[in-house]
Amino acid sequence: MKESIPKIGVYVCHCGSNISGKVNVSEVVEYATGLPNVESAQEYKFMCSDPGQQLIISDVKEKGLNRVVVASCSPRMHEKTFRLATQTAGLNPYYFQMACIREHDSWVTENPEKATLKAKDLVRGAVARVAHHEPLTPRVVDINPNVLVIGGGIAGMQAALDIADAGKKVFLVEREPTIGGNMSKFDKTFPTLDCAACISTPKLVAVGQHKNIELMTYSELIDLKGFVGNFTATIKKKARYVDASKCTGCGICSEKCPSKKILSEFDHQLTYRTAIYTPFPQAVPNTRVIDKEHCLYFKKGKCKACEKFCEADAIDFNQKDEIIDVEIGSVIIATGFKTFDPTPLTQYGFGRFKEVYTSIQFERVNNATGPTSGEITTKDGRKPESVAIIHCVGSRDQNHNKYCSRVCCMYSMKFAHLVKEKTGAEVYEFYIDIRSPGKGYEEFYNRLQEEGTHFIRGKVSEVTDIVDDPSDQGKLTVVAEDTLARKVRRIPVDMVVLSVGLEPSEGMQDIARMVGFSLDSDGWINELHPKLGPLATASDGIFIAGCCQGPKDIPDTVAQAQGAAGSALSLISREKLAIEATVSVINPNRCMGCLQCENVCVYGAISYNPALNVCEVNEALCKGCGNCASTCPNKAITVKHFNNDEIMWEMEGILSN
Amino acid sequence: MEKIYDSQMNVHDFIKAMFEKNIVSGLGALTQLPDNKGISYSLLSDGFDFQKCMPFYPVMPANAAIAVSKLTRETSPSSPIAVFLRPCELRALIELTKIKQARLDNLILISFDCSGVFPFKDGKYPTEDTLKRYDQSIKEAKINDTIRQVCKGCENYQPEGADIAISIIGRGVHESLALSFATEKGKSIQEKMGLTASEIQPSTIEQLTSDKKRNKQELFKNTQISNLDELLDVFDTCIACRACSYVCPICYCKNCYFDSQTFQYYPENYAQRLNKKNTLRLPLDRIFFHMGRLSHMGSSCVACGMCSDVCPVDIPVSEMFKAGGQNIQGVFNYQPGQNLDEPMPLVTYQEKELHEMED
Repeated sequence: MKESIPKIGVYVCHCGSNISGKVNVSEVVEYATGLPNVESAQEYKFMCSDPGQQLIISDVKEKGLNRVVVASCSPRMHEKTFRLATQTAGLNPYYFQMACIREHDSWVTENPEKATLKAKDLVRGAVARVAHHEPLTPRVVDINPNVLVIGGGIAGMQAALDIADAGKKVFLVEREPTIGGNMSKFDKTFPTLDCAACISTPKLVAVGQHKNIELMTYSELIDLKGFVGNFTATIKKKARYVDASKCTGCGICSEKCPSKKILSEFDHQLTYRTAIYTPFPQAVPNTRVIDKEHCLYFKKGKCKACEKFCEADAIDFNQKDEIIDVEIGSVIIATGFKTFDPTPLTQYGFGRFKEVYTSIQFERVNNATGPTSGEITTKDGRKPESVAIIHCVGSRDQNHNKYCSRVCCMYSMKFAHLVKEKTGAEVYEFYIDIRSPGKGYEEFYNRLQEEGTHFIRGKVSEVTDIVDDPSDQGKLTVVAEDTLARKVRRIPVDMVVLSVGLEPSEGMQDIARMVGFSLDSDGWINELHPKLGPLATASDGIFIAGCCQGPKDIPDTVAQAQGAAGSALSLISREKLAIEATVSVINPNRCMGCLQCENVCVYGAISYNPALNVCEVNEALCKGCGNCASTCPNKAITVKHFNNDEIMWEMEGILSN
Repeated sequence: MEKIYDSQMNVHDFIKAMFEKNIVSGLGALTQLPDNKGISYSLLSDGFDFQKCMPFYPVMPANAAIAVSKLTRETSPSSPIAVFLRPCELRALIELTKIKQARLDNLILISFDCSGVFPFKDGKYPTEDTLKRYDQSIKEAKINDTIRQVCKGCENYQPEGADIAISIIGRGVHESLALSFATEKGKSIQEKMGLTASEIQPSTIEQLTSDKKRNKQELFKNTQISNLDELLDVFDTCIACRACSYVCPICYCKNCYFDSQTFQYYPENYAQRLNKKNTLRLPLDRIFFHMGRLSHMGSSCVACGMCSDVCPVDIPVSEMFKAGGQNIQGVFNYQPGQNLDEPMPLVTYQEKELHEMED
């Protein structure tokens, strides 16, 4: 209930000398004493300090104040502090109004007299407004402790494991038939050269076996509704045509499958797979998948060789896509990256010369489960005598991606080391700048220089099969200007590795729209704050981890994943969430259901109720920005704490000098 | 340009045929009231004496888009209904559909090239003689001098976006109907009625359009408001009856905000204002009302002229709204009612627009 007679206490802050250096505070206090409904006015050196707040609390009790005005800094700074003090004093926290006489006045006004005058105006506005404030109560909602993790690469797996280990339920959704992501394709990891499989496979197994993790592979998020603490995610589980509960992963089906010439996605087109397949031997789950597009039975209606030979009777050609709804309270996005496709850079000959590889292909060449079982050989089986590695392919390039992909320098040097170790070949690194910030990274660079890797500073202009010396016939010539030696170098090599940059995964736009976060101009997810909110997004309860936010290496990705898991757990442990009371409400008696408000709401907080033909606000999503209220021609929408009455009175106060 | 076909039917036969072939189960059109008491937009079903239907009768007792909105706002009609609408009424209906105040499913939109309507002041119908001269002006593709001011300067008199468009200018209202079918819905009706024979040539209307354009410029010149004093002068006689908002097809609010509690002031507000000015003209907020209305519906104003017609003190509301509306629409390059898929400019965010407004 609105108190019938307002008794207002006004407190004018010196803010050290920030305000009092310009504004004559005593004059403002004296002026405020004479304003309507003002019971008492005082000044204090620092209102935000404990004794300052105590002043408000004891005055409310002793003088019977029922409204509070503090003239000090910006509400962004201390509105919450003084609301809390007002509440502690036993009043509704919204019976408080702040007049900003620092940022809006003392800091920006030169003339002290004018500054004092403006302070009086602002105080008068706040006094007029606070008399018309209405008491508001924040709504409290339960937080669903379940977490959805989107993406099963190293970031998603780590986040899922941390949350699951804390005893909370995790739904881990992965688009591919197996978890593991890009890291499972790598051989060694820089700079320590430990084997990627040795450190990631245990994680895959742990995720697959964890009782708190519900793994949904070959699945995609198709919708997300709700708000922080209470989301409903709709997930499409694509049909594998193999019954996961029966498949033992023996692999006889793949052996018998007659469609054998399908380029392997996992090996990045370097090998072939069958129509029924598993991406790699350590896949989790180890349930095979039938690739409907290439399966003879689906194409021509006959074959079923896999079904005939499957002893477990696991093949099910009638399986259908499943749509599943899961209830969750928070989401971690860990959708990772894809590598840049170098085909448009025709000067490097990718796709034209068979010995030009992308770096991710070269990872597979190095890997023991890859096309050459880890031997570095050319496609016709020769050991290379020299290998060129071209940095910044598609990165730091005005025509492609302007950003630095951060990991390429380091993995390129890792390749140089591995080539040297395995084949003894000469390795030429063509670089623009070597970027090695990280623990042990610069040392690794020094080690490579000592190993005799040739570092040539210059952008490669061309890779050609025209050789200068007839004895080099069959080799590729890499042409580049060596900008340190100031001459053009033409180096014959057996293999060329293009250190391609990182790009956001496919389909990020769709997820962004569904989940409600924004992407930057390169397509990476915009974090809440570049420095102080790197794991959160503008949507409450949506966290991010790993390369979906921008290129990063494995240590940074894992650190972010654990951070995101921590953020989600911190949210869960609150159990209940108070929703800000300053939200908009729609009066159904005035609403015409024209949906113009829905059009301008950037938070997706407004929905249409067809039964009543009116719009409704979801308070948990509403941020109280007021777009809807100003759009509604019928003025059916009110923003609490910013209703017309309050704003009109504030204006009336400010202007009525 | 769509092809035009000779239907070899007059308007009454055409309406009858639509019912007979089960294309429609209802019809909305201007119709003569029983005992010749007047003309009103009416909803009719099969069995009615369609000779009383007068879709081309040159008065607009109410903008028909309001009637169609009321008919379809909650749900669409269960079976097809054809509605005759003047082009401005059709545009208003499209605007209302964009803001979910009408539905077009199961509606067949019939429109025609409009030669304007007579002011409906005092509820007086045009005399026999006036009607004869009006028909003559249609035949000759000329502008009649006694139609509404906004009609004289209306450039959007062609029935764009209708399922069935009737061409009368240059032909006359008593001839057999010349029809064109721009939409899928229209084309299927054309097929059902078997109207694919005898194409006819469109009439020449360039002169008419350029005359209308000239009239419009003149209209804008005559009602131009270039400063605050002129604004006060124009609305000086306004009695705040709000009639203009009640007949406006775009003013769709349930209860006008200006009638709400917000404008019931506290005594202290009056006192405060009086202190400053020494005099207060009551009722307050007359110009505020007109400016509020212009800001709300200016971007959608179809210049139908209803507001001027009902103004008891003869303020040229629609002339000014047409001018103001066109300015707003011009900023966004927006044509109200032209295309259902074109989003309304004030609720659509575009990253690159209005840079000229920045400093």
